[in-house]
Amino acid sequence: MDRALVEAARSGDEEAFASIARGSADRLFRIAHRILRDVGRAEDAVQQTLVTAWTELPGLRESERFEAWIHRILVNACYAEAKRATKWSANVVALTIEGPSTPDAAQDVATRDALERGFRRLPTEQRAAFVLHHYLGLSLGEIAETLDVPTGTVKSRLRYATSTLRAALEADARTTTPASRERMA
Amino acid sequence: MTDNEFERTARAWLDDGPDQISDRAVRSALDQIHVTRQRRSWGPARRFSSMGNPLRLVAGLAAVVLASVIGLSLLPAGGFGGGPGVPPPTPTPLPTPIPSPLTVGDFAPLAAGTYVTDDPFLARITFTLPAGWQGNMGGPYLVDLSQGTGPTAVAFSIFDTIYADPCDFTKGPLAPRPGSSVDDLATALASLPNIGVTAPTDITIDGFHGKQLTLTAPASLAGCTVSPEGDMRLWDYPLGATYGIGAGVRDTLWILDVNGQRLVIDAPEPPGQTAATKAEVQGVLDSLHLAAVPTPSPSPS
Repeated sequence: MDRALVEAARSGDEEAFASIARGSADRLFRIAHRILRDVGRAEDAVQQTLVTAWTELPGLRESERFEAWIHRILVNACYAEAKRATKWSANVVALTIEGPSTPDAAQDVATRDALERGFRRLPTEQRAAFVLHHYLGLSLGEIAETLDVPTGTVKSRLRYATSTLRAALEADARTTTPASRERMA
Repeated sequence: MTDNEFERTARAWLDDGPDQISDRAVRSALDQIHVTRQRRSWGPARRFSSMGNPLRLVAGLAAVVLASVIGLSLLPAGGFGGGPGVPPPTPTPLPTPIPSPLTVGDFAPLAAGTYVTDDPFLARITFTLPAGWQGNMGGPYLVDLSQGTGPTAVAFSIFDTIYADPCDFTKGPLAPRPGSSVDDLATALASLPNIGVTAPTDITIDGFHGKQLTLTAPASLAGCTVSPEGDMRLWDYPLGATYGIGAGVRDTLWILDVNGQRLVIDAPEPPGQTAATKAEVQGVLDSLHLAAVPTPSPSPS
Protein backbone atom coordinates (compact mmCIF):
# COMPACT_ATOMS: atom_id res chain seq x y z
CA MET A 1 0.00 0.00 0.00
CA ASP A 2 1.29 3.45 -0.92
CA ARG A 3 2.18 5.11 2.38
CA ALA A 4 1.81 8.58 0.94
CA LEU A 5 -1.77 7.80 -0.02
CA VAL A 6 -2.49 6.46 3.44
CA GLU A 7 -0.98 9.57 5.03
CA ALA A 8 -3.00 11.83 2.75
CA ALA A 9 -6.20 9.93 3.49
CA ARG A 10 -5.41 10.10 7.17
CA SER A 11 -5.32 13.84 6.86
CA GLY A 12 -8.78 13.88 5.32
CA ASP A 13 -7.96 13.66 1.60
CA GLU A 14 -11.04 11.96 0.23
CA GLU A 15 -9.57 11.38 -3.22
CA ALA A 16 -6.59 9.61 -1.70
CA PHE A 17 -8.91 7.37 0.27
CA ALA A 18 -11.03 6.68 -2.83
CA SER A 19 -7.87 5.57 -4.59
CA ILE A 20 -7.01 3.25 -1.70
CA ALA A 21 -10.56 1.92 -1.62
CA ARG A 22 -10.61 1.17 -5.37
CA GLY A 23 -7.23 -0.51 -5.09
CA SER A 24 -8.17 -2.75 -2.18
CA ALA A 25 -11.88 -3.42 -2.67
CA ASP A 26 -11.46 -6.59 -4.77
CA ARG A 27 -8.97 -8.08 -2.32
CA LEU A 28 -11.17 -7.25 0.66
CA PHE A 29 -14.16 -8.70 -1.18
CA ARG A 30 -12.34 -11.95 -1.91
CA ILE A 31 -11.45 -12.37 1.77
CA ALA A 32 -14.96 -11.45 2.96
CA HIS A 33 -16.53 -13.81 0.45
CA ARG A 34 -14.31 -16.68 1.53
CA ILE A 35 -15.38 -16.09 5.15
CA LEU A 36 -19.08 -15.40 4.59
CA ARG A 37 -19.67 -17.55 1.46
CA ASP A 38 -22.23 -15.05 0.15
CA VAL A 39 -21.65 -12.33 -2.44
CA GLY A 40 -24.21 -9.86 -1.07
CA ARG A 41 -23.06 -10.18 2.50
CA ALA A 42 -19.42 -9.94 1.44
CA GLU A 43 -20.14 -6.71 -0.44
CA ASP A 44 -21.94 -5.33 2.60
CA ALA A 45 -18.96 -6.24 4.80
CA VAL A 46 -16.55 -4.49 2.43
CA GLN A 47 -18.72 -1.37 2.27
CA GLN A 48 -18.85 -1.24 6.04
CA THR A 49 -15.10 -1.81 6.21
CA LEU A 50 -14.34 1.07 3.88
CA VAL A 51 -16.61 3.46 5.75
CA THR A 52 -15.16 2.43 9.12
CA ALA A 53 -11.62 2.67 7.78
CA TRP A 54 -12.28 6.19 6.50
CA THR A 55 -13.81 7.26 9.80
CA GLU A 56 -11.13 5.75 12.00
CA LEU A 57 -8.07 6.37 9.82
CA PRO A 58 -6.88 9.50 11.67
CA GLY A 59 -6.36 7.26 14.70
CA LEU A 60 -3.90 4.94 12.94
CA ARG A 61 -0.39 5.88 13.98
CA GLU A 62 1.67 3.58 11.77
CA SER A 63 0.64 3.96 8.16
CA GLU A 64 2.83 1.01 7.15
CA ARG A 65 0.48 -1.22 9.12
CA PHE A 66 -2.54 -0.10 7.11
CA GLU A 67 -3.08 -3.46 5.45
CA ALA A 68 -3.18 -5.49 8.69
CA TRP A 69 -5.31 -2.75 10.26
CA ILE A 70 -7.93 -2.84 7.51
CA HIS A 71 -7.95 -6.64 7.60
CA ARG A 72 -8.90 -6.41 11.25
CA ILE A 73 -11.74 -4.03 10.42
CA LEU A 74 -12.85 -6.35 7.62
CA VAL A 75 -12.92 -9.43 9.84
CA ASN A 76 -14.93 -7.53 12.45
CA ALA A 77 -17.34 -6.43 9.71
CA CYS A 78 -17.65 -10.08 8.66
CA TYR A 79 -18.43 -11.06 12.26
CA ALA A 80 -21.15 -8.38 12.38
CA GLU A 81 -22.51 -9.39 8.99
CA ALA A 82 -22.65 -13.06 9.97
CA LYS A 83 -24.41 -12.16 13.21
CA ARG A 84 -26.85 -9.95 11.34
CA ALA A 85 -27.63 -12.83 9.02
CA THR A 86 -28.13 -15.41 11.74
CA LYS A 87 -31.67 -14.69 12.76
CA TRP A 88 -33.14 -13.43 9.55
CA SER A 89 -31.31 -15.37 6.95
CA ALA A 90 -30.86 -18.98 6.21
CA ASN A 91 -27.74 -20.32 4.65
CA VAL A 92 -27.90 -20.44 0.91
CA VAL A 93 -25.70 -23.07 -0.59
CA ALA A 94 -25.04 -21.68 -4.03
CA LEU A 95 -22.89 -24.26 -5.74
CA THR A 96 -22.80 -23.75 -9.46
CA ILE A 97 -21.79 -27.19 -10.53
CA GLU A 98 -21.54 -28.30 -14.10
CA GLY A 99 -22.36 -31.94 -14.51
CA PRO A 100 -19.18 -33.90 -13.79
CA SER A 101 -17.88 -35.69 -16.84
CA THR A 102 -15.33 -38.03 -15.31
CA PRO A 103 -14.97 -39.94 -12.03
CA ASP A 104 -12.20 -37.50 -11.04
CA ALA A 105 -14.44 -34.53 -11.74
CA ALA A 106 -17.22 -36.14 -9.72
CA GLN A 107 -14.78 -36.66 -6.86
CA ASP A 108 -13.71 -33.02 -7.15
CA VAL A 109 -17.31 -31.80 -7.00
CA ALA A 110 -18.03 -34.05 -4.02
CA THR A 111 -14.93 -32.77 -2.22
CA ARG A 112 -15.84 -29.14 -2.78
CA ASP A 113 -19.39 -29.78 -1.72
CA ALA A 114 -18.19 -31.47 1.48
CA LEU A 115 -15.82 -28.57 2.20
CA GLU A 116 -18.59 -26.06 1.57
CA ARG A 117 -20.99 -27.79 3.90
CA GLY A 118 -18.34 -28.32 6.57
CA PHE A 119 -17.19 -24.72 6.35
CA ARG A 120 -20.71 -23.36 6.74
CA ARG A 121 -20.97 -25.20 10.03
CA LEU A 122 -17.93 -23.39 11.44
CA PRO A 123 -18.31 -20.37 13.74
CA THR A 124 -17.25 -17.17 11.98
CA GLU A 125 -14.18 -16.79 14.20
CA GLN A 126 -12.85 -20.17 13.01
CA ARG A 127 -13.72 -19.35 9.40
CA ALA A 128 -11.75 -16.11 9.62
CA ALA A 129 -8.67 -17.81 11.08
CA PHE A 130 -8.85 -20.53 8.42
CA VAL A 131 -9.18 -18.06 5.55
CA LEU A 132 -6.40 -15.79 6.80
CA HIS A 133 -4.08 -18.79 7.12
CA HIS A 134 -4.96 -20.89 4.08
CA TYR A 135 -6.11 -18.18 1.66
CA LEU A 136 -3.97 -15.17 2.57
CA GLY A 137 -1.08 -17.30 3.82
CA LEU A 138 -0.64 -15.34 7.05
CA SER A 139 1.43 -16.85 9.84
CA LEU A 140 -0.11 -17.61 13.22
CA GLY A 141 1.50 -14.49 14.67
CA GLU A 142 0.20 -12.30 11.87
CA ILE A 143 -3.29 -13.73 12.29
CA ALA A 144 -3.11 -13.13 16.05
CA GLU A 145 -2.19 -9.51 15.40
CA THR A 146 -4.89 -9.08 12.77
CA LEU A 147 -7.59 -10.60 14.93
CA ASP A 148 -6.27 -9.08 18.15
CA VAL A 149 -6.27 -12.41 19.95
CA PRO A 150 -3.46 -14.47 21.51
CA THR A 151 -1.56 -16.87 19.24
CA GLY A 152 -2.90 -19.80 21.27
CA THR A 153 -6.44 -18.80 20.37
CA VAL A 154 -5.53 -18.71 16.69
CA LYS A 155 -3.98 -22.17 16.96
CA SER A 156 -7.04 -23.54 18.64
CA ARG A 157 -9.43 -21.97 16.08
CA LEU A 158 -7.38 -23.38 13.23
CA ARG A 159 -7.21 -26.80 14.86
CA TYR A 160 -11.01 -26.96 15.30
CA ALA A 161 -11.67 -25.66 11.81
CA THR A 162 -9.27 -28.13 10.27
CA SER A 163 -10.64 -31.09 12.19
CA THR A 164 -14.24 -30.15 11.26
CA LEU A 165 -13.36 -29.87 7.58
CA ARG A 166 -11.32 -33.06 7.58
CA ALA A 167 -14.21 -34.86 9.26
CA ALA A 168 -16.57 -33.53 6.58
CA LEU A 169 -14.24 -34.77 3.85
CA GLU A 170 -13.82 -38.17 5.47
CA ALA A 171 -17.56 -38.57 5.96
CA ASP A 172 -18.05 -37.68 2.33
CA ALA A 173 -15.41 -40.18 1.25
CA ARG A 174 -17.27 -42.90 3.17
CA THR A 175 -20.62 -42.09 1.54
CA THR A 176 -19.28 -41.49 -1.98
CA THR A 177 -18.43 -45.03 -2.95
CA PRO A 178 -16.68 -45.83 -6.23
CA ALA A 179 -19.98 -47.25 -7.51
CA SER A 180 -21.85 -44.05 -6.74
CA ARG A 181 -19.12 -42.02 -8.36
CA GLU A 182 -19.52 -44.08 -11.50
CA ARG A 183 -23.25 -43.39 -11.49
CA MET A 184 -22.57 -39.68 -11.09
CA ALA A 185 -20.22 -39.84 -14.03
CA MET B 1 -5.57 -37.65 3.36
CA THR B 2 -2.21 -36.26 4.49
CA ASP B 3 -1.81 -32.76 5.95
CA ASN B 4 -0.25 -31.58 2.69
CA GLU B 5 -3.07 -33.01 0.62
CA PHE B 6 -5.64 -31.39 2.90
CA GLU B 7 -3.91 -28.01 2.65
CA ARG B 8 -3.72 -28.26 -1.13
CA THR B 9 -7.38 -29.22 -1.36
CA ALA B 10 -8.49 -26.46 1.02
CA ARG B 11 -6.43 -23.83 -0.78
CA ALA B 12 -7.79 -24.85 -4.18
CA TRP B 13 -11.32 -24.68 -2.84
CA LEU B 14 -10.73 -21.24 -1.28
CA ASP B 15 -9.12 -19.97 -4.49
CA ASP B 16 -12.24 -20.87 -6.42
CA GLY B 17 -14.80 -18.10 -6.04
CA PRO B 18 -15.80 -14.64 -7.22
CA ASP B 19 -12.84 -12.30 -7.50
CA GLN B 20 -14.34 -8.88 -8.08
CA ILE B 21 -16.66 -6.72 -6.07
CA SER B 22 -19.33 -4.92 -8.06
CA ASP B 23 -18.68 -1.31 -9.06
CA ARG B 24 -22.03 -0.47 -7.52
CA ALA B 25 -20.87 -1.65 -4.09
CA VAL B 26 -17.66 0.39 -4.22
CA ARG B 27 -19.47 3.47 -5.52
CA SER B 28 -22.01 3.15 -2.75
CA ALA B 29 -19.27 3.01 -0.10
CA LEU B 30 -17.54 6.03 -1.63
CA ASP B 31 -20.82 7.95 -1.75
CA GLN B 32 -21.27 7.25 1.92
CA ILE B 33 -17.71 8.28 2.70
CA HIS B 34 -18.37 11.55 0.90
CA VAL B 35 -20.97 12.45 3.52
CA THR B 36 -19.16 10.91 6.50
CA ARG B 37 -16.76 12.91 8.60
CA GLN B 38 -13.58 11.35 9.84
CA ARG B 39 -13.31 10.90 13.56
CA ARG B 40 -10.62 13.34 14.59
CA SER B 41 -8.07 11.97 16.97
CA TRP B 42 -7.63 14.30 19.95
CA GLY B 43 -4.84 12.30 21.55
CA PRO B 44 -1.84 10.56 20.02
CA ALA B 45 -2.80 8.14 17.27
CA ARG B 46 -3.18 4.55 18.40
CA ARG B 47 -0.57 1.93 17.75
CA PHE B 48 -1.89 -1.08 15.96
CA SER B 49 -0.86 -4.02 18.11
CA SER B 50 -2.28 -6.85 20.10
CA MET B 51 -2.81 -6.50 23.79
CA GLY B 52 -1.26 -9.20 25.90
CA ASN B 53 -3.50 -11.20 28.18
CA PRO B 54 -2.72 -9.33 31.45
CA LEU B 55 -3.29 -5.98 29.76
CA ARG B 56 -6.49 -7.30 28.22
CA LEU B 57 -7.68 -8.38 31.68
CA VAL B 58 -6.94 -4.96 33.18
CA ALA B 59 -8.66 -3.26 30.27
CA GLY B 60 -11.64 -5.56 30.71
CA LEU B 61 -11.91 -4.79 34.41
CA ALA B 62 -11.59 -1.09 33.72
CA ALA B 63 -14.40 -1.36 31.17
CA VAL B 64 -16.61 -3.12 33.72
CA VAL B 65 -15.92 -0.44 36.33
CA LEU B 66 -16.53 2.32 33.81
CA ALA B 67 -19.75 0.70 32.65
CA SER B 68 -20.89 0.40 36.25
CA VAL B 69 -20.15 4.05 36.93
CA ILE B 70 -21.93 5.14 33.77
CA GLY B 71 -24.82 2.82 34.55
CA LEU B 72 -25.19 4.24 38.05
CA SER B 73 -24.98 7.80 36.85
CA LEU B 74 -27.75 7.11 34.36
CA LEU B 75 -30.07 5.56 36.90
CA PRO B 76 -33.00 7.77 37.76
CA ALA B 77 -33.02 9.21 41.27
CA GLY B 78 -33.77 6.33 43.53
CA GLY B 79 -32.73 3.81 40.85
CA PHE B 80 -34.98 0.85 40.34
CA GLY B 81 -36.28 0.44 43.86
CA GLY B 82 -33.07 1.32 45.71
CA GLY B 83 -32.05 4.51 47.49
CA PRO B 84 -30.28 7.34 45.69
CA GLY B 85 -27.06 6.09 44.17
CA VAL B 86 -27.51 2.66 45.73
CA PRO B 87 -27.43 -0.15 43.22
CA PRO B 88 -30.26 -2.61 43.55
CA PRO B 89 -29.26 -5.88 45.19
CA THR B 90 -30.34 -7.95 42.22
CA PRO B 91 -30.74 -7.11 38.55
CA THR B 92 -34.12 -5.59 37.89
CA PRO B 93 -35.59 -6.35 34.48
CA LEU B 94 -36.79 -3.39 32.51
CA PRO B 95 -40.55 -3.27 32.31
CA THR B 96 -41.87 -4.99 29.19
CA PRO B 97 -43.27 -2.35 26.85
CA ILE B 98 -46.96 -2.67 26.12
CA PRO B 99 -47.33 -2.76 22.34
CA SER B 100 -49.64 -0.22 20.78
CA PRO B 101 -52.11 -1.65 18.27
CA LEU B 102 -51.58 -0.56 14.69
CA THR B 103 -54.58 0.86 12.96
CA VAL B 104 -55.24 0.98 9.24
CA GLY B 105 -54.45 4.25 7.58
CA ASP B 106 -52.26 6.04 5.11
CA PHE B 107 -48.63 6.83 5.62
CA ALA B 108 -48.30 8.46 9.00
CA PRO B 109 -45.44 9.00 11.42
CA LEU B 110 -45.23 6.45 14.20
CA ALA B 111 -43.76 7.46 17.52
CA ALA B 112 -40.79 5.43 18.70
CA GLY B 113 -42.14 2.43 20.53
CA THR B 114 -43.41 -1.10 20.31
CA TYR B 115 -46.37 -1.99 18.12
CA VAL B 116 -48.43 -5.04 17.37
CA THR B 117 -50.43 -5.95 14.26
CA ASP B 118 -54.06 -6.89 14.43
CA ASP B 119 -56.52 -8.56 12.02
CA PRO B 120 -56.36 -9.97 9.44
CA PHE B 121 -52.98 -11.40 10.31
CA LEU B 122 -53.22 -14.69 12.17
CA ALA B 123 -49.96 -13.85 13.87
CA ARG B 124 -49.58 -11.00 16.25
CA ILE B 125 -46.43 -9.37 14.92
CA THR B 126 -44.77 -7.27 17.58
CA PHE B 127 -41.99 -4.93 16.57
CA THR B 128 -40.16 -1.93 17.92
CA LEU B 129 -39.49 1.19 15.90
CA PRO B 130 -36.93 3.90 16.60
CA ALA B 131 -37.87 7.55 16.20
CA GLY B 132 -38.54 8.88 12.73
CA TRP B 133 -40.32 5.95 11.15
CA GLN B 134 -43.59 5.91 9.29
CA GLY B 135 -46.20 3.25 8.88
CA ASN B 136 -48.59 2.65 6.04
CA MET B 137 -51.37 0.19 6.53
CA GLY B 138 -52.13 -0.03 2.83
CA GLY B 139 -55.30 -2.00 3.16
CA PRO B 140 -55.76 -4.72 5.70
CA TYR B 141 -53.35 -7.12 4.00
CA LEU B 142 -50.29 -4.95 4.19
CA VAL B 143 -48.24 -3.22 6.86
CA ASP B 144 -45.52 -1.18 5.29
CA LEU B 145 -42.83 0.48 7.42
CA SER B 146 -40.26 2.97 6.27
CA GLN B 147 -37.61 5.19 7.70
CA GLY B 148 -39.02 8.68 7.36
CA THR B 149 -40.43 9.20 3.90
CA GLY B 150 -38.01 6.71 2.40
CA PRO B 151 -38.96 3.59 0.49
CA THR B 152 -40.46 0.54 2.17
CA ALA B 153 -37.92 -0.92 4.56
CA VAL B 154 -39.94 -3.71 6.18
CA ALA B 155 -43.35 -5.02 5.15
CA PHE B 156 -45.73 -7.70 6.42
CA SER B 157 -48.22 -8.84 3.85
CA ILE B 158 -50.62 -11.46 2.58
CA PHE B 159 -50.94 -11.94 -1.19
CA ASP B 160 -51.22 -14.60 -3.83
CA THR B 161 -50.96 -12.72 -7.12
CA ILE B 162 -47.49 -12.50 -8.57
CA TYR B 163 -46.43 -11.22 -11.97
CA ALA B 164 -45.29 -13.61 -14.66
CA ASP B 165 -42.23 -11.64 -15.73
CA PRO B 166 -40.85 -8.79 -13.59
CA CYS B 167 -39.12 -7.44 -16.69
CA ASP B 168 -42.30 -7.34 -18.75
CA PHE B 169 -45.24 -5.80 -16.97
CA THR B 170 -47.47 -6.40 -20.00
CA LYS B 171 -47.42 -10.16 -19.42
CA GLY B 172 -49.58 -9.57 -16.38
CA PRO B 173 -50.13 -11.82 -13.39
CA LEU B 174 -48.98 -15.40 -13.41
CA ALA B 175 -51.80 -17.75 -14.40
CA PRO B 176 -52.77 -19.90 -12.71
CA ARG B 177 -51.91 -18.22 -9.42
CA PRO B 178 -49.54 -20.05 -7.11
CA GLY B 179 -51.23 -22.42 -4.65
CA SER B 180 -51.86 -21.45 -1.07
CA SER B 181 -48.86 -23.05 0.63
CA VAL B 182 -45.53 -21.48 1.53
CA ASP B 183 -43.81 -23.87 -0.88
CA ASP B 184 -46.15 -22.87 -3.70
CA LEU B 185 -45.30 -19.18 -3.39
CA ALA B 186 -41.59 -19.77 -2.78
CA THR B 187 -41.37 -22.03 -5.84
CA ALA B 188 -43.27 -19.56 -8.00
CA LEU B 189 -41.05 -16.66 -6.96
CA ALA B 190 -37.90 -18.74 -7.39
CA SER B 191 -39.00 -19.48 -10.96
CA LEU B 192 -39.45 -15.85 -11.99
CA PRO B 193 -37.44 -14.93 -15.09
CA ASN B 194 -35.19 -11.90 -15.54
CA ILE B 195 -34.55 -11.29 -11.86
CA GLY B 196 -31.91 -12.70 -9.51
CA VAL B 197 -33.38 -15.25 -7.13
CA THR B 198 -31.72 -17.39 -4.49
CA ALA B 199 -32.92 -20.93 -3.92
CA PRO B 200 -35.60 -21.02 -1.19
CA THR B 201 -34.24 -22.37 2.05
CA ASP B 202 -36.02 -23.69 5.12
CA ILE B 203 -36.42 -21.37 8.08
CA THR B 204 -38.19 -21.42 11.42
CA ILE B 205 -38.96 -18.14 13.15
CA ASP B 206 -40.60 -18.10 16.54
CA GLY B 207 -41.80 -21.64 15.89
CA PHE B 208 -43.35 -20.89 12.49
CA HIS B 209 -41.89 -22.77 9.54
CA GLY B 210 -41.31 -21.29 6.15
CA LYS B 211 -38.92 -20.41 3.38
CA GLN B 212 -36.46 -17.61 2.87
CA LEU B 213 -35.29 -16.29 -0.46
CA THR B 214 -33.88 -13.13 -1.96
CA LEU B 215 -34.95 -11.36 -5.13
CA THR B 216 -32.46 -8.99 -6.71
CA ALA B 217 -33.45 -6.64 -9.50
CA PRO B 218 -30.82 -6.06 -12.20
CA ALA B 219 -28.68 -2.95 -11.88
CA SER B 220 -30.46 -1.44 -14.86
CA LEU B 221 -34.03 -1.91 -16.05
CA ALA B 222 -33.14 -0.78 -19.56
CA GLY B 223 -34.69 -3.25 -21.93
CA CYS B 224 -37.52 -4.10 -19.53
CA THR B 225 -41.10 -3.08 -19.99
CA VAL B 226 -41.57 -1.62 -16.55
CA SER B 227 -44.78 -0.99 -14.65
CA PRO B 228 -46.50 2.42 -14.77
CA GLU B 229 -44.57 3.20 -11.58
CA GLY B 230 -41.33 2.58 -13.45
CA ASP B 231 -40.32 -0.49 -11.49
CA MET B 232 -40.41 -4.27 -11.75
CA ARG B 233 -43.91 -5.17 -10.68
CA LEU B 234 -43.72 -8.26 -8.48
CA TRP B 235 -47.11 -8.79 -6.86
CA ASP B 236 -50.54 -7.35 -6.10
CA TYR B 237 -52.29 -7.29 -2.76
CA PRO B 238 -55.86 -8.54 -2.41
CA LEU B 239 -57.50 -5.12 -2.51
CA GLY B 240 -55.52 -3.78 -5.45
CA ALA B 241 -52.39 -2.24 -3.90
CA THR B 242 -49.27 -3.21 -5.83
CA TYR B 243 -45.65 -3.90 -5.10
CA GLY B 244 -42.59 -3.49 -7.28
CA ILE B 245 -38.88 -2.94 -6.89
CA GLY B 246 -36.50 -0.60 -8.65
CA ALA B 247 -33.15 -1.30 -10.29
CA GLY B 248 -30.58 -2.91 -8.03
CA VAL B 249 -32.95 -3.46 -5.11
CA ARG B 250 -32.34 -6.63 -3.13
CA ASP B 251 -35.48 -7.85 -1.43
CA THR B 252 -35.20 -10.53 1.23
CA LEU B 253 -38.39 -12.47 1.85
CA TRP B 254 -39.39 -14.69 4.75
CA ILE B 255 -42.52 -16.62 3.83
CA LEU B 256 -44.11 -18.24 6.86
CA ASP B 257 -47.01 -20.54 7.53
CA VAL B 258 -48.92 -19.06 10.44
CA ASN B 259 -51.65 -21.48 11.39
CA GLY B 260 -52.46 -22.07 7.75
CA GLN B 261 -52.17 -18.44 6.66
CA ARG B 262 -49.25 -17.50 4.45
CA LEU B 263 -47.51 -14.44 5.83
CA VAL B 264 -44.75 -12.69 3.90
CA ILE B 265 -42.25 -10.48 5.67
CA ASP B 266 -39.86 -8.70 3.36
CA ALA B 267 -37.09 -6.18 3.66
CA PRO B 268 -36.15 -4.48 0.38
CA GLU B 269 -32.67 -3.00 0.41
CA PRO B 270 -32.06 -0.31 -2.20
CA PRO B 271 -28.59 0.07 -3.68
CA GLY B 272 -26.54 2.54 -1.70
CA GLN B 273 -28.50 2.12 1.49
CA THR B 274 -26.39 3.69 4.20
CA ALA B 275 -24.91 1.66 7.03
CA ALA B 276 -26.94 3.70 9.51
CA THR B 277 -30.23 2.91 7.74
CA LYS B 278 -29.21 -0.69 7.37
CA ALA B 279 -28.55 -0.88 11.10
CA GLU B 280 -31.94 0.66 11.90
CA VAL B 281 -33.74 -1.76 9.60
CA GLN B 282 -31.86 -4.65 11.13
CA GLY B 283 -32.87 -3.38 14.56
CA VAL B 284 -36.52 -3.48 13.53
CA LEU B 285 -36.10 -6.98 12.10
CA ASP B 286 -34.33 -8.15 15.22
CA SER B 287 -37.18 -6.81 17.34
CA LEU B 288 -39.83 -8.77 15.44
CA HIS B 289 -41.70 -11.34 17.45
CA LEU B 290 -44.45 -13.52 16.08
CA ALA B 291 -47.10 -15.21 18.15
CA ALA B 292 -50.22 -17.01 16.99
CA VAL B 293 -53.52 -15.32 17.72
CA PRO B 294 -55.09 -17.16 20.64
CA THR B 295 -57.99 -19.31 19.49
CA PRO B 296 -61.16 -17.99 21.08
CA SER B 297 -62.59 -20.40 23.60
CA PRO B 298 -65.97 -21.82 22.61
CA SER B 299 -68.82 -19.84 24.05
CA PRO B 300 -71.15 -21.74 26.37
CA SER B 301 -74.29 -22.85 24.57
